[in-house]
Amino acid sequence: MTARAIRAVPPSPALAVAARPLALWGTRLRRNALFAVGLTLLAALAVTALLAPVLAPYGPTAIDAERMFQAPSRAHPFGTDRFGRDLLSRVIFGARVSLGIACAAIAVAALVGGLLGLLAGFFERLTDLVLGRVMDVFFAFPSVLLALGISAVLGAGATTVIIAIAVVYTPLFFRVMRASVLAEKRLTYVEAAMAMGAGPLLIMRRHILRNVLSPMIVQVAVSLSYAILIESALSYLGVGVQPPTPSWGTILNEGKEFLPISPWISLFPGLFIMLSVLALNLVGDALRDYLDPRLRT
Amino acid sequence: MLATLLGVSLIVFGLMRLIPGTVVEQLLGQSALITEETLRSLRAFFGLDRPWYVQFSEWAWGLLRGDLGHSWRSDRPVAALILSRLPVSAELAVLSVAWSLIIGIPLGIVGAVRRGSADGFVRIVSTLGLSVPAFWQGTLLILLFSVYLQWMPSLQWIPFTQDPLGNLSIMALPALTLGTATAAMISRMTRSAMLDVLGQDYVRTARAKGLGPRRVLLRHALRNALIPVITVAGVQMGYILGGIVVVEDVFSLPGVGRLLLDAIFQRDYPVVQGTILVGAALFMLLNFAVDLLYAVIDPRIQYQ
Repeated sequence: MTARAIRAVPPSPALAVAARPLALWGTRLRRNALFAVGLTLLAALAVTALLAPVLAPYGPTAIDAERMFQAPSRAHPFGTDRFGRDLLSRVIFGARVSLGIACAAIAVAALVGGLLGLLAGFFERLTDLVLGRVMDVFFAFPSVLLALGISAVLGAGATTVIIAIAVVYTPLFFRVMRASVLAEKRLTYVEAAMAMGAGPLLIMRRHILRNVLSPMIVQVAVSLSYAILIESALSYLGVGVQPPTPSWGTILNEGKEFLPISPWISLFPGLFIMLSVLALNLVGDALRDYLDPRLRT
Repeated sequence: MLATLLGVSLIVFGLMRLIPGTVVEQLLGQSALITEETLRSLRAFFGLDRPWYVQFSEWAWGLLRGDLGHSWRSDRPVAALILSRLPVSAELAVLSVAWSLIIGIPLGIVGAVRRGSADGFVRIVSTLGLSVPAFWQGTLLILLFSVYLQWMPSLQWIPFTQDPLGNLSIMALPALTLGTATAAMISRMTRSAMLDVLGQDYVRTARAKGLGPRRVLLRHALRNALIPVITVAGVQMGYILGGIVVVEDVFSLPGVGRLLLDAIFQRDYPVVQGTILVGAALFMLLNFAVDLLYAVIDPRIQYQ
């Protein structure tokens, strides 16, 4: 009965604006050309990653000793590397690895950081104090240094990179969620729900959570771009994904020795990193513009 | 700040305890010749047989005296190793911040003042600047200058005091690479802060009383727009400190970043520990300095 009564509480005007955006964004965002470019690019990269086995002309680790260091040609549009492996195929499979790691890491960070932020913002007092202090400590590290430290102790590999990026970004999601929950909690409809005797779990799940998701969505888009950059940086430095698994950073790492004789090895994976980060930045900017016009870019 | 620093040192200390097994097993590998007794004596040698809080308090006491431990590879003090590499990294950081401010602020002002095609150009350039990975940009610059233009700066790093021109010719491309993303971020923030400030009443008043556009822009608007810009610059210091590792690797510079990477590959954990701790402490200090800068730029801000 309590739940039904709470559902019947009409949202405040501020909430009405916050609850509307999904439909409103759809219309507004469609008009934003840069958003359209970003989304198209992102969709193309996602399809490339998902359909890698279908799209790639060769296996990502198929060695061909007779075709080492071949310049881009019709048979190998991105050229070949020192083992004669087709770079187009490696870059296509690299999309799967790089984007997959970034998505997994940000999903973990958003879930853990979001949940802790929700608890800290809702319960405040000691929970907020303790969690806030812990997150402040993680914030004190430059992100790449922290990720490098974690990779150093856990050993190189895809799982390590996911953990490293997730640890780096959890505090960010914590802060975004906490700030939104603190603001939301003070609105009249939450007070009304509390006055009607709704439990904290019900209020958090049914009322607050769905109204604080918008800034989290924007943060996911922005963080994904940084996650791609950190993953590639770690792999480029040799402490991330290890060869022969093709991540964009690993391919770049393999190409740096041969820069004067085979510059294409370094060229194409970097281009794909830039395109994916660009796409996410464009999408993130557009989302942020509609969410918070004060931060319009 | 002290509590955070304590937390940071706890995390850095704890990180090394996350190593699967202990550092002794990691260093020795899976050798059948190593007996349990040898392992035990090595653990005792490294002090790993004592409770973690005893190890931490000894380590923290050392930190307070400026002792970051000794490198397991060279047996040199970690603090001395870091100090010997610091000039390279510090110069790289200063040059890249300078370049990012010199480029970023004017670009942002142009974007805010000249709406239309100039603004569009600034937005595109800044979005691209944020999207280019530093290691790729560095690689492209090396390709362009060293491979195609045959312009090869000295491979041996030269201190600025010894040969300023030689030093700057080595540091120009790394600083450009490291500062690009920061310049893009600063130009975006300058643009949006200037747009905000230019619409305020006091700017209209300044114009109405006959002040020239340059004076209104630089003396009245920019000064107030600088607060968020400085905040972004402070946050970007974290990017710069992390980016140093990447850029030093790309351009083979003998700085602290290279020291950290070499230590990671050699499993020289005291050096890894010390370098990350110093990086985090520097980041905190720089952010503190940024907080103090607010009061210099805006006299309304006062610290008790």
